[in-house]
Amino acid sequence: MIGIVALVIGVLIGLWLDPTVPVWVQPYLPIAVVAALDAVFGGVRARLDGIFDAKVFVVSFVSNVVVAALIVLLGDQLGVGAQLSTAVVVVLGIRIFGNAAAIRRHLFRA
Amino acid sequence: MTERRGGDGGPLRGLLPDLLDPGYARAAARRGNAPAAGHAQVVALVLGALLIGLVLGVAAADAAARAPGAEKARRGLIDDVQDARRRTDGLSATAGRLAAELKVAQQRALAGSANGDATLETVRTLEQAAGAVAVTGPGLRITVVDGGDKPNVLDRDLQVLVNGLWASGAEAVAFGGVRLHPRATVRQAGGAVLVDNRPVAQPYVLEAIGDPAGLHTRLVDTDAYGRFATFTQVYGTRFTVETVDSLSLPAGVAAEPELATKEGSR
Repeated sequence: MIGIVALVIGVLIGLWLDPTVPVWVQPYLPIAVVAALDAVFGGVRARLDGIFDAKVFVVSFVSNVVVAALIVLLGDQLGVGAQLSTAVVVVLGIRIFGNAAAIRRHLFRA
Repeated sequence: MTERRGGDGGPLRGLLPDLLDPGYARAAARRGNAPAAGHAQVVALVLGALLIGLVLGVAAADAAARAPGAEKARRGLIDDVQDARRRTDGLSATAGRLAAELKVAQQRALAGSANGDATLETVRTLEQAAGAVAVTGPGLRITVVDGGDKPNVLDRDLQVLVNGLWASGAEAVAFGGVRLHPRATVRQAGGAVLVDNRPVAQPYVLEAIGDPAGLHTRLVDTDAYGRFATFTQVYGTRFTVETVDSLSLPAGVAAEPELATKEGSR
């Protein structure tokens, strides 16, 4: 519960601050968003499984963002940044889907 | 493929069977499957959730700030164009009204005397030749529709067609509802065809006043007709010529002379 409140507050702060995102950060923003969603769904599912651990939650989110950003950075240097962004989005997207399905099974037993 | 390497296996294997981060299960096992508790947990949860929310919020604000920027610019441009069009319409209506007033004044000043009547007659002939007055009469209507997905009919083809109409004895020609005066141009700017600097869309309709039968016969002999007949066969361009009993062409907007001045006014 407190997590959801903090999440909402974070979203509101982000919207309220409305910072100008530097141009060099912009390619990484979508990846950060997907990683954030992955962390949220993973966290919710772990919570429903009864094995939630806030440390794992934070560390997995931060490390996923960092690793994904590094992969895309490397891809940009090699000239395949777009493809590697797609790869990151696909991998995290599959996880989001799977976790969302698991949450659905938990909630609706279907 | 059947081997199992325990735990989280290879990266691809990790994708499909269990999508939950294995870290959760391991942390739970370390705790002896008791739920995590304590202040550190709450702090980490709040910080993590805040951070994630912040990322989502900033991304949403960024997306909202960027996409509507382009949209706003587009809408602004459309508004500008519509304003300019309205202004043009208003100005040409004013021009038409003033021209009518001018005509009445001319009539009043010149009619009556023999000299004045002759001048009036000259003015009338010149105005018709310059395309400055609206005219009606029998003639031909030519419709050109480009076939295919990329433009095959270019401005120079349409120029040839217009010149063919003049050469065939057309007395007045309008292209897409725009009257052609002696200084009017037909040219292309990007994908649009500009007739006397006004954009004309497909189908291209050319109306020419003149003796329909003679006009048609002579037009068939011109290069233009042959060219468009070829287009019909090669590109699937639709090219139709029909005889119309009564065409009415609007007055053209004659360009103001820039250097030529009336004799004695300098």
